[in-house]
Amino acid sequence: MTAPKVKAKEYGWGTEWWDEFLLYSPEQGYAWLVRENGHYTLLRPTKIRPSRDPFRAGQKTTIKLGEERFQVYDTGDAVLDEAEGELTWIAKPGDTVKAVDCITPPRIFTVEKSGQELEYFVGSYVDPQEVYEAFGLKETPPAPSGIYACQPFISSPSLEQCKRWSVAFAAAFLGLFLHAMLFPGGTHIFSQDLTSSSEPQGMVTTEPFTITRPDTICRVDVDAPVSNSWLWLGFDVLDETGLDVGEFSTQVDYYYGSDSEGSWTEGGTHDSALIKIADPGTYRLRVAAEGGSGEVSDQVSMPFSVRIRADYKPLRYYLIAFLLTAGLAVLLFSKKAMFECRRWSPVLEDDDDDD
Amino acid sequence: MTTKTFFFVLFLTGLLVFSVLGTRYGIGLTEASKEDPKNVREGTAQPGHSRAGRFWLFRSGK
Repeated sequence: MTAPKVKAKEYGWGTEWWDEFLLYSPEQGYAWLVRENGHYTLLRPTKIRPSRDPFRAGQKTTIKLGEERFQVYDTGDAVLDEAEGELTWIAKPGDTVKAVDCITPPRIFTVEKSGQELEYFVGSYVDPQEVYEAFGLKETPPAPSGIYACQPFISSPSLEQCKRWSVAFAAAFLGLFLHAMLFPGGTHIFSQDLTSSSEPQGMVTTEPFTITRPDTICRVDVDAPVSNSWLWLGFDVLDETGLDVGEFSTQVDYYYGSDSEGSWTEGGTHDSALIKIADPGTYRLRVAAEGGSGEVSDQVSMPFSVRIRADYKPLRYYLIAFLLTAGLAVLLFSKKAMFECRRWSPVLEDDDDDD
Repeated sequence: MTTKTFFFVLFLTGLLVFSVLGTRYGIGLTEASKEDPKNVREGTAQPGHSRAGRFWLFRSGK
């Protein structure tokens, strides 16, 4: 670009550099095109006075400029580093002004103070491609880096579509989860009351039960009248020939008492486990038990009951899918909030460091 | 529909298929299969169990 320009910098948490190009139009008068990190803003002088002195206002304070409401973004010293071309004043490197930027994206309001002189500028963020086209530049502008103070959040069609799809799928998964929870399905195929063997490491074997379909998901429910004690049950699934084809375990433990915070209970008298039985056939369960009231097993002869429900619908798959999809939806819907975080974090950190 | 949206919907559809098949076939659940017999137990093959929790903190006065 061949317009007259000044290069300026701001000292603070980190030195920021930018270029300002002075533009002139017989119809529109003077304007400044500001370029920083590949971002562009077009500012014009304004005679509208702000509702309050932005230099005395804290960060994020609202300032009215006519009908527009801006938020104070950042304050700092702008130092002229170099100048070239024909400007409307005698520019000297080292010239310093105090400046404050107020934003309401994509609009920006800048106040510069030098001695007793105040200058007001108001403008908007301009898409870099639009700037290049306006100046007849054929090449593609370099990709801007970071989030600029008054850069507007522009949602893409993909984002909007993905938001809608994620909500639709999350609702579907929630519906499937609730349906599976309210109508778990399955049929009770087995129920038996047992007492664990009193012999050390002894085992008991249940009556047989029949599985009619391949890949049947069974839910095994165990109840035991434990009271300030625990009972661990290790199950072997035995086929018709007595071959151990699968293993699983459950544990019930129920405790109660009181302490300085009042009475409390912990655990319960029920536990369950899921097991998939791959082949149809007749099976039995062989049960090994450990339990007692101490920290180690000291009482293995305890009553318990076992119930089996076949063709059970596990809830975990729909729940996992729902949580994953809902998480994605939250992430997509919070993109604007994250964008705002990135916009403000450099200047908020700047303030923290100043403290 | 954009390409990004297409792949996003494809992923969600995959998740739907996984959850439906998982619910029907119990993907990842403990399985009992005649093709994969376990070792015959002698006594309690699994390690001894113990109980530790609030109850024992309470009992030990901690």
